[in-house]
Amino acid sequence: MVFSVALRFLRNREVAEELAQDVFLQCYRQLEQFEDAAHACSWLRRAICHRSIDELRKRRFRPAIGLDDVPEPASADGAMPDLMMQDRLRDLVGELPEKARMVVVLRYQEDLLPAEIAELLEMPVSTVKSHLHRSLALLRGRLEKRGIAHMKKGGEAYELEY
Amino acid sequence: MSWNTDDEMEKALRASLRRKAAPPDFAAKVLAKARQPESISGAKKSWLRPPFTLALAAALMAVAIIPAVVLDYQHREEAKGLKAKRDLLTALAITRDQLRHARDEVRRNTRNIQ
Repeated sequence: MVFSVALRFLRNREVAEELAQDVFLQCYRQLEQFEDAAHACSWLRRAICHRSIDELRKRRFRPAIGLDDVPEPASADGAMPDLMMQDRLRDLVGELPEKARMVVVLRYQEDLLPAEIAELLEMPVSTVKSHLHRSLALLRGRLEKRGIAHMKKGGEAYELEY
Repeated sequence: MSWNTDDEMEKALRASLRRKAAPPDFAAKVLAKARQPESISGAKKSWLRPPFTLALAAALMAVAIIPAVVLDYQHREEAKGLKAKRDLLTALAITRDQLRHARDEVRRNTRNIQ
């Protein structure tokens, strides 16, 4: 969970690993402060979110994705287009503004509810919902623009506002 | 696959953003870092870096030396004051003797005149 949030958010495997290690180390050194596993898990999630956002603001690095992140070759059952689309969608998520990107990662990777995301990122629930709604519209619009999706709705308003 | 509804788009996002497992040696690396003494494991202890160490040493020396210098100065000033006091008392004693001598001379001369 920790490494994956950093990887999806930063799109740089080395930095994500380094950051995740730091967060686990910090957690290990203050283990006695945690009441139970759920508390530690919540702390880890919060720590990696905020550290990732700080790291992105500090570095503004180029994405560096390793071989492990490249989709597998096509299989006979025609799975290739889906894998390519998933890869493209990950890239598009990586292009979202930082807060919207973190909200999307927490919602669709970690499966957190908007209220949980709001608490984690210290923002109103309405803002989380707005980020989600506008991000979906923007992603759909971009996919459509590239001819990958066949959509009726567009997401350009979100793009312009950022 | 299409994304005509939010549900379809969400499904596609969930598939794209599946959790990625950490590298196999991840836990070993964290444990190795955890075994190192905290003071040398990261760059966070910036106050242990050479420029800060020197500054800290200088500050400690200043803290140790300044009171000694101040005390020494105070002792010297005190000694000077005592010496000045002694000199003044000596001068007053001499003056007193001279005045007594002068008074006796005046009395003797007055008696002789009478």
